[in-house]
Amino acid sequence: MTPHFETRNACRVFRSATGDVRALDGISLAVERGAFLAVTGPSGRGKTTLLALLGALDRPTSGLVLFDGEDLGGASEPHRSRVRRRLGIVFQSSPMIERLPLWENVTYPLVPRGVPTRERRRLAKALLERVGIVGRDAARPEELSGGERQRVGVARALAADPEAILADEPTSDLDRGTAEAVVALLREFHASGRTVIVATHDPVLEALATRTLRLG
Amino acid sequence: MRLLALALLATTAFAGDTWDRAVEKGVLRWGADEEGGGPFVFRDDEDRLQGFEVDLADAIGRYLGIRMEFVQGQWDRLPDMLRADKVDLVLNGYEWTPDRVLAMEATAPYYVYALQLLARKGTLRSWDDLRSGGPRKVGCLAGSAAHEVMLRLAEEGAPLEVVGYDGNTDAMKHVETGNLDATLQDTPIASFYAPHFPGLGPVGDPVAPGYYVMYAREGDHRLVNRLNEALIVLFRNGELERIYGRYGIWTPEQEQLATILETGRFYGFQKAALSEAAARTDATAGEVRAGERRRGWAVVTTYGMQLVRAAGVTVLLSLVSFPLAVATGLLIALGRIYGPRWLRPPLAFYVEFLRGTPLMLQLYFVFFFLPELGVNIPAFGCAILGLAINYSAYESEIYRAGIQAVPKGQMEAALSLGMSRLTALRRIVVPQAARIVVPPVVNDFIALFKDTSVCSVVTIIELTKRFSVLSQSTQATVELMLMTGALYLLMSYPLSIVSRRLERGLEAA
Repeated sequence: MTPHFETRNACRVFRSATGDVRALDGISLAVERGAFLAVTGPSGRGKTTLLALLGALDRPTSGLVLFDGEDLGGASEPHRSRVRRRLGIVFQSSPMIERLPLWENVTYPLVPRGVPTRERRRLAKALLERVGIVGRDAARPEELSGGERQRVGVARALAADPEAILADEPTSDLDRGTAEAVVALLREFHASGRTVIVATHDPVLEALATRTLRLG
Repeated sequence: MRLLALALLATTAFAGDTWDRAVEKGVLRWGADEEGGGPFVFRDDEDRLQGFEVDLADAIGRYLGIRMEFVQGQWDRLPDMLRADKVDLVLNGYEWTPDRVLAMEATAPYYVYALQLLARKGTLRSWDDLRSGGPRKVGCLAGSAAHEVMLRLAEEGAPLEVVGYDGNTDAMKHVETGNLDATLQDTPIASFYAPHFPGLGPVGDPVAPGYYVMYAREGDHRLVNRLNEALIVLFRNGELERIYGRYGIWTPEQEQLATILETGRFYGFQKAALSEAAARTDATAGEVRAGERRRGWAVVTTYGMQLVRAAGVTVLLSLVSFPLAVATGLLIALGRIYGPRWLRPPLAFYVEFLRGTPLMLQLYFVFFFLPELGVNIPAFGCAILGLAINYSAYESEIYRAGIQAVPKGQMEAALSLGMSRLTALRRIVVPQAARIVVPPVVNDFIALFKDTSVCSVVTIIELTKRFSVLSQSTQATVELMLMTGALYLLMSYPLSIVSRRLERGLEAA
């Protein structure tokens, strides 16, 4: 069976004035559909870079990145944005569109699918409640704490009903209670037969994984 | 500039025969500088083009049966314009010099001038006072024969500091105010402007007589022959004397022209077949002297409308060129940040090159050099193009900074929502950058607005050039300066207000 995600000897080099930085040095990996992969390792070893390559947010300097057996690195920008629409991505920094309220941020991916506004708002409210943010769906991103932003990021990744979730340290800023809510969501998502890839230092998430890749 | 001039010399823009083209189109374009002032070419109080060269051009046109079209150009750039095919002949007090006939075709002379030394009455008795005695400061029109004479005198050891001026009457004004000790002027200027400068007097007799000639492009012998023919006829039928008399510059020396024109005793001048059927004009035109010297409010009422019209040109130049600069600058900034890697170095070079060279040089390039490559854009187009290209470099740097000031996460967030890069730029990044860049962009617009004054080098007469021309011909510099400054302020201040509104509006969005 074709792996859901695959890399073959993928390298990513960042050029800078002070010299080249090899963020990722020849990684080969295959993630089957429905797997739960935990990527671990010390900071600065390329966990975030790997997720960016798998999520079609960045292109490899050399080597291959495949999604469903199709090359992503050399694909056209429209093709890559179609792939991104099939994925839920949780960033470490949880960037949001600051001028839109939370509920718009969470369900923005549904706009092109023609989901009506009232439906989107209802869905956003439910998702935000699942991550413990109640009654604040009209708030602006700037009113949130770091931990709250991270949870909104998880809710947003789930909104479009993606076939896989790529999450970068989704529990790092959370206390035990809220972290458990996020872990539960990811476990539930995985239990429905879909793929989860997390970069994490969290032993709870690591324990949940079916596979672990250690970088560095 | 010298390099550019050499490049211009290397080839000739227009290979065909100018005379044939003139006959075909019925138009001959002659170049002169209004800023040179009376009695050559100047605007009178009613904004009409006047001057003995204007009348001469008209008389020649009547004889040749061709319309003579005046083209404004900076005096010392007229030969460049000739080579770049912006004009067909130069007719503007250009002296016959051996250097010039190497590069251009000269006609027979149309005026015999000499150089008159002028000083404040009672300060200098003779030329000897310049050669010996204390150090003195003298001024002349830069690049003119008078300038050459003074420079030579200084080289021979006279204790002189020689200053070059862009306009004729500036030097006379500075002698009057005491900034200069003396000025050397062509006799027509000295006599025409004498009423304006009652404090100045001639020192000694006129010296170094010479000839004003018309210059045509190298190889345009047929045009030159036709022009010479016209001169001969106009001299014979008394038209020349009538024209010069009108401006008070007919002198006994002009009789020399008879000898030269009748015998053809002039370098390479071929006596053309003459037709006595020259068009005569009625000698009813009155005498033209320099207008009375106005001061104070009279200056505003007399010349105000001329300045306001020129301000319109300034506004038009700004309003057309700036949107072009904004659009180009935005594309360059996006290309440099998000474009393919191979595109970035050439774009960086574009920006650095344009920021690192003066706007004036770029305008020269567009106006004088592009015709060499077969691209002949009218002066107004050149000005717009030059301004737009120059400012696009500055704009692109502003947008680059603005886009980079939008947190990187915004792009990632947009991408992770499934937007394409282009949509993310359009919907997320550029709107946020817009708010950041409004103040510097408005700042740039005001700068461009004032930089339009540089366009006078490509023959555009906008507000500053009009001020300069008027102050040459009227000497009411202070009043004109105040009026010009007020007009600029009146136009740029509303921009600042609009900018503040815009900022507030974007803040709210």
